[in-house]
Amino acid sequence: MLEILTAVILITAIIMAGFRRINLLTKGFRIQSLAIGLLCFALGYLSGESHYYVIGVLTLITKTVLIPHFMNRSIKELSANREMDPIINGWWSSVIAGIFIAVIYVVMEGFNSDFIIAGVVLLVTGALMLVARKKAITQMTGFLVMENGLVLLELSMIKMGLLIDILIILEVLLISAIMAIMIFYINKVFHSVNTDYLSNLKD
Amino acid sequence: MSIIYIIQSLLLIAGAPLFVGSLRRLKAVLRGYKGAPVLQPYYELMKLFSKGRVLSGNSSFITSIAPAIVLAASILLAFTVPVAYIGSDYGLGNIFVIIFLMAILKFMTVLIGLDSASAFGGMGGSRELFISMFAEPIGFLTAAFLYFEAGSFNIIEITYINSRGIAEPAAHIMAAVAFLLWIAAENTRIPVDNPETHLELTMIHEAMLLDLSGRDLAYFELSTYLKLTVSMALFVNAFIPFGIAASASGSFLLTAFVLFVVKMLIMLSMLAVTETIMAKFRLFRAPELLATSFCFALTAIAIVYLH
Amino acid sequence: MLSYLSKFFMDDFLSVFFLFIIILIAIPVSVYSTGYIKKYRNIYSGRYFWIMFGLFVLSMIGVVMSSNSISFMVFWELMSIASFFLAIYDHKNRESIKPGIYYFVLTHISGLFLMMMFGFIYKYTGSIDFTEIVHSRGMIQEPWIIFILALIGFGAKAGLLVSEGSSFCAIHKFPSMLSAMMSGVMLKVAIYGFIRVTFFLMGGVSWESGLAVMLLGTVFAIYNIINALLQNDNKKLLAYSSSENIGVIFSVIGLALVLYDLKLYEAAIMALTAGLFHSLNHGVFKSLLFTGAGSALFATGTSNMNELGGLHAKMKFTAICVFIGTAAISCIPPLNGFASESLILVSFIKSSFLLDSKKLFLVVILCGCVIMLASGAAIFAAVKAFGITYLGKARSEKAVNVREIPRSMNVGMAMLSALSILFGIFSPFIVGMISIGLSESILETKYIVQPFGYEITRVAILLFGIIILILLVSRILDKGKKPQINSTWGCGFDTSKPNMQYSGDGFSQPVARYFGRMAGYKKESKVKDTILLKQKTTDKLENNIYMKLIYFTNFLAVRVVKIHYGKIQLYVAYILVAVILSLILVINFV
Repeated sequence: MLEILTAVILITAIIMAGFRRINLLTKGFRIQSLAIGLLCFALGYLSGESHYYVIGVLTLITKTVLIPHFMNRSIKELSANREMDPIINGWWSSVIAGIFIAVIYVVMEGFNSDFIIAGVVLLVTGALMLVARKKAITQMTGFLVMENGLVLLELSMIKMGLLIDILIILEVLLISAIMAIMIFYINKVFHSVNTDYLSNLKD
Repeated sequence: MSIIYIIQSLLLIAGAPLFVGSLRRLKAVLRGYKGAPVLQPYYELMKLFSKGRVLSGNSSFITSIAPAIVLAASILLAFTVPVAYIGSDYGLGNIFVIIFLMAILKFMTVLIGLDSASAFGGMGGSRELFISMFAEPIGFLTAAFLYFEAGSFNIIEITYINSRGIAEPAAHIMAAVAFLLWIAAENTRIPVDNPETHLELTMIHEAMLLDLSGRDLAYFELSTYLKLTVSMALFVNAFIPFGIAASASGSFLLTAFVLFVVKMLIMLSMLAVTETIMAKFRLFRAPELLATSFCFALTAIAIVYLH
Repeated sequence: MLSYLSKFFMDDFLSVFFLFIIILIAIPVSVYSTGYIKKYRNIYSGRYFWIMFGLFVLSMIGVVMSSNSISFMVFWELMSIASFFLAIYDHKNRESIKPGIYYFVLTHISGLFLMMMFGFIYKYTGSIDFTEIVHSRGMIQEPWIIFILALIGFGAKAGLLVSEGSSFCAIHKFPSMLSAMMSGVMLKVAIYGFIRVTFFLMGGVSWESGLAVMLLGTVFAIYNIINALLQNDNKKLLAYSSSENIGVIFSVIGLALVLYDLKLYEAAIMALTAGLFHSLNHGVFKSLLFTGAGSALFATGTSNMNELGGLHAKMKFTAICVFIGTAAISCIPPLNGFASESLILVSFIKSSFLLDSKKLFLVVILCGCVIMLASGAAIFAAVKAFGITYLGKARSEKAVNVREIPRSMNVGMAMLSALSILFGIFSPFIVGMISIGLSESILETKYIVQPFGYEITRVAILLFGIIILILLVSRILDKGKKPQINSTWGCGFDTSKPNMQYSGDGFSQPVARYFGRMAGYKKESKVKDTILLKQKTTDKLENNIYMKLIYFTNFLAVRVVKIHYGKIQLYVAYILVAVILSLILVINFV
């Protein structure tokens, strides 16, 4: 069960690294968060510790319901619903993501837990999305994917305090809400969410 | 080779048009219309066989031998892939031989496309080779994955070992997804090409067969059906081989056969659903899909190798 | 007598194997040449050609058989000179002089590096004899210098570092039989030298060096095949494709070096066997394809595929032979290209499984992927070369007025096609023989590589059986029905015109769009009265690295020339200064 959920998380991460349709990205993010939530429950069931359940519930509420809702709201406002010319094109970003993932697996061979590696994979693919894409909304998705990676890391590595977990998740919620509003205003001012236009601000 | 092995391959060959027919029917039902009967591909083949051949004045020796070669290669393909029974004889079924036998079909089809001096044949051929070029590394990685998993290149041995349990389910799932995308690209199915359209500008596979008729076309159609069915059987046996009969006793064989049919039906419905809900990718977007598939396969290999 | 002779000749497996390649391919190509040379009958002397051709073949035999570095170098230079004189055989044609001279310079640079390499070997071991070097190879102190010199020297000659088809090694501009010989055989002689030095004389190199060879081979393979794919000149396409195959061979030899250093001997033998077998097969099918391109050139006077097309009608036999060669290079089972290409892929997978280091594992697997991608592109290129040239309709007058081809040319090509089929069907036996020979001469044990068993033979027999069966059935089905011959559908126009077919440019357009940058692909379109489309490719490596090197050398030469004043006193002064300087050096450092 854990293995299958890990596979789902990795598959969604890879798909999100390569695809440019924004509503597909939202769907991918939703499925990924769902898998992480279920993973939390499964871990809680296996270990019998209650704080996994709390994280699971929080993840499910914020990341499968609230944040995708914000994202869908801002997508509706946008005129273009796909990434037109990313900095690294689709083919290369998938290939690079694949090579990165393999390198991560090679470098982190000492860690014997799948979640740590999957967490780092999510961090890297999220970072790749942040770097390779131009639209603010895809960058926000990349940021959220990175955050999912953090959740996976903390699930397996250190027993963080429950309070810190909750704080992190709330913070993410807040940040994504702020970003959604920001995207709305970027769109309003520049009639596009292309972050290239932000460089106009410097003079 | 034992008799059962030959019989099951013959059944696979005979059932290939049925598979395609039911796929078409299911797609029709999903789209909300009635659709042609399940046996329609057989009728089509019979009709084509009874028709006379019309050749292009520009055609060469390729047109006279290619249909036979293509059909022969696809029949041989059906014999290399196990169905419901795996004997102890490992004489055929190396996975590289299977991959490159599929390349025969591709190679000859492209040449047929160029042979009749038509404008569309070259277009289809160029696109087909372009896509299959990107699909090659995935075939390599899948073969490597199966070798890492089962320690063999022989599909029968792989089936036998995988049917007894899988060590790394996560890697297995990812490789399976990669392989499915490879099958879609090799068989020019929907995310890559739409096999139903006869709109010349969008098509790949059909464009090359535009100038064939009569029994030549029948051979090609049959080989296309066979290729799809064999790829599906390959997938079923390499990735979800549970319940396959390793001994020739009656009850085992029966359950294995029923299981095989059920698995093929599941594959068929998956194919039908994806082909109904998805649209064809643009030609230059198709490599991105294959790159994603490459990424899956590479991750699968990384996982399976490190544990 | 024999023992006396064996002092001067190597008679171990490697030499014998490459001797076999040379003789095997030289015979059909010389049969082919008897016909091809009729093209030049009224202009040049035939005797000159045959003497040089014989010298060329003999010097190659000398290289692979020589047992000491002096005779190796002598034969090596002889080979270069003979091939140069063959290259400028068509010397009244201005176009063939310049590539010939470039090539001459290139081979001498490669020869220079090799001389330095043998010098270093002599410095450390104190011997020029190969068997003695093997005994005292423990004394080699800085193997990486020798390794780098060998890589540059043999790599440049083999077309690894300098692509065949770039203007420095433009084998496509030479007479076709020479192109076939050079691509099919001479490049293999360079590979022989590399294997001889790295495996036999030095006894393997460090795995880092092996890794470098593997990566270099892989990178050049993909670079060259993309360049090949975008060419419209038949012979240039084949020349680039030769470099791709050489890249693949070097890659698998590099893998063998890595495995050998990591003491995975059986896997190393397998990889080396794959490399050797691919050398043999590439020799066969590439000389077949080059002779085919030569036939097309002979018959029509052009090798630009955009002017050809529909040659199958008037050159049926040639078309069938080239079809077999195309199928072989496209890895179609059961032909020989498939046999060796699959062996290479299998050895990549198997050896990556054996490696302990995970990083190395990843590199090996990724190299395998790139090689598979290159093989996909190779199918594309081969199909382009065959399909556009031989199938369809004639695109210009040249392809209609076809000159008749002498029978001897067809005989030569038929021999090569037969070899291509035989080496495919009986590949398990040949692979077994190569691996036994190699393991006995390197490891002194017997080890048989047979990853497929006899499956290829079985598949071949079954495939041919089923094809014959189907053809019989079709014969019965067709009884009484005559096929109707019609013109091709003209897409809505009245008749289909030749220029409605896909051209060579159009055929490879998708790849140009994805990988065009790798081959310096540029497209310009102008809309005047009609739409004008200009496309061209440039060799990036040549322009960006080698040309700059040449400019730099030129620049230096111009500066150095300034010390020439033509006054005898000045030259005496130079000599004096040089003598004093060397005296100081000798006193201080020796």
